[in-house]
Amino acid sequence: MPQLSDPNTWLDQHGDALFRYALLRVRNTTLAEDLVQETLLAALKARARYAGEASERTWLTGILNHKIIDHFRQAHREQPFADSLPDDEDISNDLFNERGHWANPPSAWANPDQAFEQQKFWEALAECVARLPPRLAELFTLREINGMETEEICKVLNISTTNNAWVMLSRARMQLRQCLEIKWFGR
Amino acid sequence: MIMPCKKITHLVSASLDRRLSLNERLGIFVHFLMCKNCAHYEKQMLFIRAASHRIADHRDANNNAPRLSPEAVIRIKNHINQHDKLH
Repeated sequence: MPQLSDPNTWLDQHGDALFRYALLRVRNTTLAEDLVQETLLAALKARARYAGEASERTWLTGILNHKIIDHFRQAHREQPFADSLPDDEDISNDLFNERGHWANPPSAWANPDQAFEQQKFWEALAECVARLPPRLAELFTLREINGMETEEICKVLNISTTNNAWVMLSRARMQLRQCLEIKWFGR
Repeated sequence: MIMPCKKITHLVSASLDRRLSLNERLGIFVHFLMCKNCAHYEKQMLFIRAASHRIADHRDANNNAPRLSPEAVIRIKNHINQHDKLH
């Protein structure tokens, strides 16, 4: 059965990985650092309960993930996602004419899979996510990077209906597509 | 009735989050027969999903991936040590 290493080594061994995990999801350096600190303290208190089923890194990441979800839950308990779907989050008026047909049609992307091999692509993608309006970025991140179901996300972010979440996810993906087309696929 | 492209793009996105009704799926199918643009759009949505699922691994593998600042490391270490002394 795997054993935990000396807690004094956790920060050196896992600190950067935990920090990157948090930063990718909360997009705020100070907050990500605080979450790493809280995670290590919580792990220290809970280390007697480590069952050895997961690796140390996986166990710590699981704790961090709880902290991240708690952070979102708390932030949106005080300030629920507005029920409104503001127009400035919707770029479809630039893309479609008044009859709902493409005014600015998407072109085929050349060799999209090759993008995965290139470091610059991942930077472009992260930048495009970071450029989304903040609440769309949160929603998109929980859905596509954390892989949570929409119903679960609605509870965490205090969104009143799954339908609203679906509309916002569609807007987020539409903006991301547009951003990648400009930043990566070069039009 | 052919659905407008704008509606199709929202359905394509929704298909990533929920199970579409038979009518919705049929609407997309018929639309794609006539509209390459929306078919491109769907491919790109699937690409964005695949990329998002992999982004964490790829960013970790990067040499200039973000790291904890030295100040943050010291701060967190002090915090943990304090906790250790108290317990």
